[in-house]
Amino acid sequence: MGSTPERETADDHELVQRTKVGDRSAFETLVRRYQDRAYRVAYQILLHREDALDVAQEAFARAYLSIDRFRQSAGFYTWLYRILVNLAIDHTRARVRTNPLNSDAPRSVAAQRDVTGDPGASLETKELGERIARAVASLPVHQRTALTLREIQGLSYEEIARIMNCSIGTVMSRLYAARQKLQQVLGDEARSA
Amino acid sequence: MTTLVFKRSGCAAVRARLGPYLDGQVRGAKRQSVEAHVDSCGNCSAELQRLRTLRDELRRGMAVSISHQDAEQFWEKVERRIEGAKSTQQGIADWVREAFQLYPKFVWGSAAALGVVVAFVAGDLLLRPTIRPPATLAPMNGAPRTVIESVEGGPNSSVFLLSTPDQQLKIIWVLEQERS
Repeated sequence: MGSTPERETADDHELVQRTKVGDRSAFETLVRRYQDRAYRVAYQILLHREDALDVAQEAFARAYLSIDRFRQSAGFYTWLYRILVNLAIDHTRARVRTNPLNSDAPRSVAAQRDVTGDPGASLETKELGERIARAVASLPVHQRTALTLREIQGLSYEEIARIMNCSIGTVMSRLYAARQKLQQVLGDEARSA
Repeated sequence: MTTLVFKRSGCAAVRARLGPYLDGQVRGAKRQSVEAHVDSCGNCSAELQRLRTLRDELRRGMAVSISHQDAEQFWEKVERRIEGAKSTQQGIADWVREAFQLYPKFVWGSAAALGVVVAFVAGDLLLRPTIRPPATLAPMNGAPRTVIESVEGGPNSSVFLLSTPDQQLKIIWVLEQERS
């Protein structure tokens, strides 16, 4: 993917150090650097604009409040994504508890996309986006998360395993299952069109 | 670097590797073997092309962005949450401090009562007598070897589950305190 986080980890390290000694402007720089990526991850897990913003902002706030416990053995973004993914998955579980009929896929995913979509995007791109959004919404949340971290964030299997607190084999099987299901759903949709 | 291990053979093995291959997670000789197989197998080649198309569509279709307005307000809202969490922590600390200043006897009395309850519960748990039988009973006069599988103790009785592996016999032994 276009902007891999690796390029920025050296600079992240310095910003984290400054944040630890109380420099809030350093943390603001980290937030501005990762807010779009954090929102994208949260959005693809939750498929809901307001919830995604809410969870992404909460993840940054929690990261700030516990920055002293961050040991920097991994990159800042890996640590941040771990907080974010846990919060987002908890949020989908809470949503299922409060509305069991709704499962973890929200209603009107395509309509939600219009809110954040680029108004200049072509009709073809918008249609593709809606088709993909419907198919992605049909995936279980852990498959959707692994797929997002791989396809949108461009993370390695090892990074995804660290973020999702599982083995690399589990990441592989989640990605394999997700791709099989997407091919099936998109194929069915194309045949019925 | 983690080595990925695949245990299938032929087309099935290659298909299981196609996703990781596209993701750049298959390297060296394994990568070359995937490429050699795909070059000579029409089905696997078509599957690789389908996965490539899916990947491209996902990258285009999943690429949502935060709106300009949301991006502008993002940091401000994060900062508000940080302040909110800090003021909650501060509020609890202030409340405790104030309570100590205004009602010291009540606070110390409550703390002492809580301490007594905790000590009582902990003491009961720690000092409760437990029967610890040996894990294995030695065979006597040709008697079968006996193994104790589990022991569950209640206030007035204990239940032992014993087995004799040689004779495949299970014994449930209940020890109950005599009622006066």
